[in-house]
This record gives sequence, C-alpha cells and structure tokens, in this order.
Amino acid sequence: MGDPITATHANIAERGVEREQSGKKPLRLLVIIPAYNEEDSLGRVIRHVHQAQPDADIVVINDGSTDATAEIAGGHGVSVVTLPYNLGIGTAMQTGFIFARDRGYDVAVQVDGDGQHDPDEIGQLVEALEANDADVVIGSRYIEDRGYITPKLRRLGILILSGIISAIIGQRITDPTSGFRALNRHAINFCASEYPFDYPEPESVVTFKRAGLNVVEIPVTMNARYGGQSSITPLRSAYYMIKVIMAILVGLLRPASKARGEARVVQ
Amino acid sequence: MLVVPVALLAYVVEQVRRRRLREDYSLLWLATLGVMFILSLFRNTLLEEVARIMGIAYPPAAMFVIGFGLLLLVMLQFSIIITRLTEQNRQAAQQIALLNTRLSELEQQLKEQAED
Repeated sequence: MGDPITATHANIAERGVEREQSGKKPLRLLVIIPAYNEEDSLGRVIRHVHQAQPDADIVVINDGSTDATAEIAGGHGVSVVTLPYNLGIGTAMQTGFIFARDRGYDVAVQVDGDGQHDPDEIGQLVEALEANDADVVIGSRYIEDRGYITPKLRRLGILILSGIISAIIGQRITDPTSGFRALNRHAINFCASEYPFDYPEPESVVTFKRAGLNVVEIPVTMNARYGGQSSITPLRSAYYMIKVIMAILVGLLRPASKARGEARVVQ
Repeated sequence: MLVVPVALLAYVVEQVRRRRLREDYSLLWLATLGVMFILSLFRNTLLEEVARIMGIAYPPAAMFVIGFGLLLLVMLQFSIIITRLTEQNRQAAQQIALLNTRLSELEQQLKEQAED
C-alpha cells in the first residue's frame, strides 16, 4: 500500500539508523496508550508514565472517544492520534504501531488508558526484551500471585484460553489477555502490517509465535481500574471466548507470515 | 408468475445502466433472476424435470429451493464485500488519523518558526 507517512518520516527514521551505526545509543522508547472514553483515568496514567519514563515519548490513540479524552491528552503535551470513529482496541493499537514504525522507535510499550498497568514496571518490560533476546515481552498477572483479584468466571476463561494457546504454540503463556506489553522493532514492524482487530491480545500471541517472533512473559502487578467502564461484560465475555478461539483456530489455517523479509535467526 | 422476474430483471439492468449498481455486483442478481425466469417460462417441461431430478413432488417447491440457494450466494457475496469495505475503511481511518497528527505537528512547528 502507498504510505505517504513513511515518506514524511524518512528523515526521522534515518536519524535512528545513524544512531544505530554509531554504536551505543539510548533506546528510543514509545509508550502507546490506547484510550476510548478514559477521561477519568487518562490524565493520571500520562503523568505516571512521564514520571516513570521521563525520556520516553507518549502517544495516545484516541479511539473515537465521545468524552474529553482527546482534550486531556492534548493538555498533557503528548502526541495524540484521534481515529475518526471507534474502531476497537486492535485497530487503535495497530495505529500506534504504525506511528512507532514510521518514526523509527526502537521499542514500543502498550499501557492501557484505564490505569490497570503500572508505568513503574515499563522499565522491567523493556529490560526483559534485551535480557531474554525477546521480540515481545508480556506482563503477566498470573506468574506470581501479587494480589490481583480476577472474577472466577473470567479467570476460568483466561485459563481455558491460556491452555489452548500454550498448546498451539508449544510454550506456556499464563496471561494471554494482558495488554501490558513491550515490543522491539521486529515486532513493531510486524504489528504495523498485521494485527488482529477485535480482541487482539490472545490472537496476537499465536501470530507472533507463528511469525517467528520470540515471546516472553514476566510477572507484573496490575491495579483495579482508576475509573471508567471496563469494556468486558458477562454477555460479551462469552462472545469473546468463542470469537477468540475461533479466530485463533481459523488463523492456523492461514500460511504463517514472517515477521521480517527473512525468518528470525534462531540461535 | 412470469411478470415478477421480468420486471426485476429490467429493474436490475436499469440500475446498472444508470451506474447505481456495479456490473460485477449485478451478475449474481442477473443469474438468479435469469434462472427464475427460465424456470417459470418452461414450468411444464424444464421445471418438472428439474423437480423430478431433485426428488421434489411439487414442482413450484423446487423453484423455491433453487431461488433460496441462489439468494444465499447473493448474501454471501454481500458479506465478503462488506468485509473488504470494512478493511479498507479501517486503513483509511488510520491514515487520516496519522496524517491529522502529522499536520498539527507541522502547523505547530511553522508557528514556532514564525515566532522566532
């Protein structure tokens, strides 16, 4: 597809390349905050990210919010990308990954706008990328019990999903629905061109692995939401489970796409 | 019985002529209506033969079954087209959003340069 934005940002991408060639360079980190009607919590999330990662750039993907989300983000001096109408978390995140790719960021971290993720732990996610030679690091609530309370039915759903996904990819994934993730350049490029749209997290774990990307989970602490409404209701949860499992299974019928032109070199 | 398919056929062709319906999207409609027309035209010969092959005792029922099958195809085509449009719409919305952000950044830069 013709991509005018890539051309516009060629200069920025080049600077990134130069820095790479000059050896030691600080990582260019982008924090992507998808937000749909998160006016209650967004300001706090942005301030907390700033405080935890002062050198990181922040982009809020405003997914067609009808409240003051856009104004709050703009008022904090961060980049805001406003989708013209609500397109769902997957499309919002992919917009963030395109933003990251076009501007040559080395690492992108997803932090949800509802305050569930602790920005103090962004550093751990980013470090885990390099330490584990990983392309994607997922912050999991369930590796260690850190007091996060999941409603029983939802926990059961996550356990089923985690069992199916772990079996398919041959690697134990404890929290496939977690949106608290760090991605390196290979993963950013992959997600910018191909990212599931409806309930993207569990499905993307499978597409990552099939694309030859290295996925690692580390334990994190998650909070209850600061405010706003969770998009997950009991009725939707049932639909969610069926949809995700179907999407994953149908996805297996497709040829695996590679994360880069060439397959990832496995040591 | 003959009037309905003929009128609908004429209507579809007229929509295509006025460019309110694309040729490729009209093909399945034309095929459906064409088959209905031919079956009604030869209802005492062809339709009875077709019904016999299908094992349907009452020939008009065979016409319902065939019409239903063809309409299913039309609806499946709709779903495929809608999926494609949704995907294109998604990409267009993403590009608009990213370009808007880029535009306001450039406007901001210009403003700052003008102030210097």
